[in-house]
Amino acid sequence: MSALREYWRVLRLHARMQLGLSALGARARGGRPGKNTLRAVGFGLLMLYAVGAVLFIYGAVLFPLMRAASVLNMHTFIMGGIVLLCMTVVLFFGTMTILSLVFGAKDAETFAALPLRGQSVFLAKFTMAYAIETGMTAVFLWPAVVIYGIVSKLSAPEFLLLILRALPVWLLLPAVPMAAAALLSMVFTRLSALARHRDKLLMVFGILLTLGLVIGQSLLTGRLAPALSDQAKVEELLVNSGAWLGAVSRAFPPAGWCAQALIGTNAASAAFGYLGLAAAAAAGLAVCVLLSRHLYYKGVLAQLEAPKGKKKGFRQTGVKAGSPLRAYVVKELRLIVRSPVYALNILMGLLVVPLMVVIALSVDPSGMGASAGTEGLRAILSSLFGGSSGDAYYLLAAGVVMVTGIVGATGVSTSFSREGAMLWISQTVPVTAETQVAARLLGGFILVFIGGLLTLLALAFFVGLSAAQVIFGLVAGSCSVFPLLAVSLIPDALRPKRRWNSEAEAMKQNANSLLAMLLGFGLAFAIGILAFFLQTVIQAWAAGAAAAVVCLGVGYLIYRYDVRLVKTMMRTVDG
Amino acid sequence: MITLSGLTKSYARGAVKAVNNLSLSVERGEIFGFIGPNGAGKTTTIKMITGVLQPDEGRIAVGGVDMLTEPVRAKKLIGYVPDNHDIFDRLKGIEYLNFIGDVYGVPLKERRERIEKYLTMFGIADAAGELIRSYSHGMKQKLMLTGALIHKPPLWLLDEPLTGLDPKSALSLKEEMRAHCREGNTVFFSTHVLEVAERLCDRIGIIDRGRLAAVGTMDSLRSGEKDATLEKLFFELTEKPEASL
Repeated sequence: MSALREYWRVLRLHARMQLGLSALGARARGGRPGKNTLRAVGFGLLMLYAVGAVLFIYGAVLFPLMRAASVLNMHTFIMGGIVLLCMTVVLFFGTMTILSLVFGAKDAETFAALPLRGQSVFLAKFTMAYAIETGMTAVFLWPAVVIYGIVSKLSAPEFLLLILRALPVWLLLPAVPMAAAALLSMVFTRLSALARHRDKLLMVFGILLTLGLVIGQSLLTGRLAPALSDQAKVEELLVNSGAWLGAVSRAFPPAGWCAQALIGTNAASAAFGYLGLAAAAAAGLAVCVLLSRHLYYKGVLAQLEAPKGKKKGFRQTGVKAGSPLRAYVVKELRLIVRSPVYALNILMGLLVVPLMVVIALSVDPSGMGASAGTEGLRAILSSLFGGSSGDAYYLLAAGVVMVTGIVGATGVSTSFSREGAMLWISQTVPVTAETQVAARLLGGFILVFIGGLLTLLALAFFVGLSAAQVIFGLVAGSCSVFPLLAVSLIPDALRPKRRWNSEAEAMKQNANSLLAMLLGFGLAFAIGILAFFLQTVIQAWAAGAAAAVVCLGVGYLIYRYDVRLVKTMMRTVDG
Repeated sequence: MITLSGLTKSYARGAVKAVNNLSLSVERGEIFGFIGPNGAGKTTTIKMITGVLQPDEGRIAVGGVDMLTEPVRAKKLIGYVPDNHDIFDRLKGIEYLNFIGDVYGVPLKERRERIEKYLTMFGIADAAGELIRSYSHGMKQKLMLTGALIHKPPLWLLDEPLTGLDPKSALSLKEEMRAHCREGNTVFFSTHVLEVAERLCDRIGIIDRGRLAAVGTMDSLRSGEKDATLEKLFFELTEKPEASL
């Protein structure tokens, strides 16, 4: 069988498995729609709403920004920045997806035993990962393209041309970062096969990747910013939008090519962009395929082997006793920190918030002085809350912990899905639904608390939050986190992912974390509005405290609802 | 110890009846073997007894406790080993056993003694400190068996427990099953190894296409045919046309 045919067959198999095409076909043949079909349709509509909500929020932020930028002819710069952001996001999440979907899949052994070429299997799995990242790119890119067209006041044919130009850019944009992600993953898994603590090494790799990308993104954005002291340059940028594209190209050439292909002012510039992008994509993918012939199976099979280590027998281990609640919390935390995929998805979200705070308040890309971010924050708080910003810091501190709660809710919102086929254990042990829900919330809360504390410490250092403000933030913020975590459990209690082929599927495929985040955003928005209005009539700290009490009450009600859902789920899902 | 009355469970919107009006009683001190062809309804029945699946109709009582109305109390009486090996594989063996000990409330002293006893009996004491994902198929099975036994439940519910076990461990498990029943407890297990069922069980139930085709001691199943083996009876009962069931 030719390599291409092999690739096609393996790809078709994966598409059927991951998209559930066989199940859909069986349902379609089943005639009258049953309860499950209606539920699937309902969920599809909910997902549409969720994606719509994300696009709306993103558009609502981007539109005024791009419209304001267009006055200064800076909208091309914003577009270039978005292209760069897309590439960074694809590089980070693409690496995680490839590590899990391509190198950490449970079916790797099955494929290795079949008479198939390594590169065919690799390429088929890579294509699935590519499709996922292309979907994610769409969320960032397409709203920006449409908004760009609107603020540029394009005529209908020009608008259509923009859409047509954007189509190949959207499909090719992930190629360079995905090729880089595949190369990184391939080399890493091959090297990690030689290491004793493979999982720990993978985690360190993920942390370095996160740090590298956050700092790299910040530096690249810094390089995009014009040297404001150079007046001639500023004048050129104000009259010539092509100069902005040049700035993007200098920062990162593939992003520049994308931007040129998308919004280059003349045909030559756009053609150059397409050619550059296509050549870079082809070169990157060719290198991946060539290397996969030698490295793929070696790397992937090494992940299945037991790591070399000293044997630790029963006598060297401890037998400890505790309550069922403690047992569940410890189990949750252990399973998160020991899986690189879970740890990177859940813990990174918590670490990125304090990291972003540090970078935003300390890095000075524009040369305006390192304290510019800090002063800006103070000014915003002063204008929002009127007068001194010191009082508002109480609310800020609680708000920061609350935001960490939304970002860090992934640990809770994927709790049952991560158990997957192991859910039979939770279904058969004599532990009440109340305890199981409480343990999952507590496990998630511990992680959020650590993330919130780190962010508050960063703010204390840069903005000068007092000890009282930090403690208030932790206490009131923790109260507000309770309903956020409780609401995050709802989607996963309704439809946990029961079977998965890789840990990334457990985290992402049923989109429970996305739904949970949206629910969290909605609730946090309501809490924020409540606190904001309360502080207009009472002192800020009292407003925060009152909101915290309300949160505890709402949180308890949602917790009771979670318990009801979990009781039903435990009886109805087939473990 | 187990009372099943009119147990029915359907899949695919009622099109497939995995278990059809099954009634059965298993007494204390009994080893009960549950046999049947693939897809006959053995695992579905066991999953309903453990509370993993809810029957469409019928009642389940374990030790006199209704599984549907008092699941937590009923589950305390059961030690269950499923037919798959899906287990928290990023925990270490000992961590999994401590987790099970905690959720069943096994006191520290008994826990230590029993864990050591079973890990040694199954020959995996040296691997207790290793991550479960490094275990072989058989080692996982042994760990799950240990987990099901450490709280000394009055009912062992084992779905094909001998699969993946080496001969020495299989023998130890069979001896342990006998000893457990001698103490007045119950073992309910499914198997495809008919010789084991024939030699080990006090009573045997044969399930086919969701219905209980026969139940009784080996002697009563033979019903006069002195030389009839379980294998012969099994084929006679499970190859009948559907209408005669």
